[in-house]
Amino acid sequence: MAVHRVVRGNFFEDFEVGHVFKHHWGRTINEGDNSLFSTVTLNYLPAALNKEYAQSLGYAGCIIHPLLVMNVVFGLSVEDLSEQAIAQLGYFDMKFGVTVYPGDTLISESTVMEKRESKSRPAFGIVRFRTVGRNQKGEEVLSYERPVLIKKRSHYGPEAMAAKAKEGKS
Amino acid sequence: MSLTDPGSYYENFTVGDIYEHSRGKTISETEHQWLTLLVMNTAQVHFNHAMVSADPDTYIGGKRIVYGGIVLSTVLGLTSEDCAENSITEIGMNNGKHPNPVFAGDTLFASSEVLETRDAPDRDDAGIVKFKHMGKNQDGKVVVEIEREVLIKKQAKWARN
Repeated sequence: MAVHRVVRGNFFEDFEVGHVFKHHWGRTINEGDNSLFSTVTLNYLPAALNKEYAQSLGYAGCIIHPLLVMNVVFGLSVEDLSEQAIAQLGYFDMKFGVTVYPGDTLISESTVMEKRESKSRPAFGIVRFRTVGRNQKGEEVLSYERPVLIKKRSHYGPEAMAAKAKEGKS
Repeated sequence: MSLTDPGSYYENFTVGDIYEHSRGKTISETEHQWLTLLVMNTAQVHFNHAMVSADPDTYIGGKRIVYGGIVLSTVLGLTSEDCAENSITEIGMNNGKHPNPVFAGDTLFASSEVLETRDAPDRDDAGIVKFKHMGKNQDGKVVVEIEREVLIKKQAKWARN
């Protein structure tokens, strides 16, 4: 018998420039996802919510809202890239590719572009990633870069946290 | 009223114009949790209150921060009726930043500046507008700013619809 203390997510020290992550799960986006996301965020984009209107623009039907595409591609990347982050610093060079429709399945993949220390916060570092989202045919639906402020293993890894807890008790 | 706003075709956008959008939006606890989980964002800083409240030095004020994608999407939602209702395609975004955090209960407001307008390279019924969108909280602090390019219908070709 064994006890597995699982800690998900990578720390600053774990990333190497050039590392490629093929992220987990994938996600088939359905009409319910699209309507829920678009309405709750006030993105009443007629191409995403009105089928006849979407067709008048030349689409096959309602499109998945591009911001939902972005959030799903981003969400799939979080466990590998930013589960141990404390701040999402920005979005750069974001480009939308082919249109996503209900029923399409998205997968996400990222590359480590750059890493550096945080000048003001020594317990953290900044890592810049480039993420690409693709549909089930392998066509690019989105790409972007994002810099993230991530915890260091030396300060927040399981061993450091155990030492902190011990200190707190004594 | 027509199906889409008659005042937001490509021709209606003038470089330098600023739109102060009509509505504010309070980010509720429920929306902040469910939207984060809807898109499978597994970062606990958004949804593990025991973890963040135990360490306010690490997590701002010991509070769960709202996932930036929700902040961005809500602020763009507040701009959408004025800026993107006659859009055909989302082209891209750049130079996005989150200068200040958002927490459940905060109210977001949005403004947009027209940075550039140009003809589409491959079609004559639409043009590209580049906006700079800005979101602020109830205290006037900037919570997101981003540049965004959208392909928008030209009134001359589409207005009869």
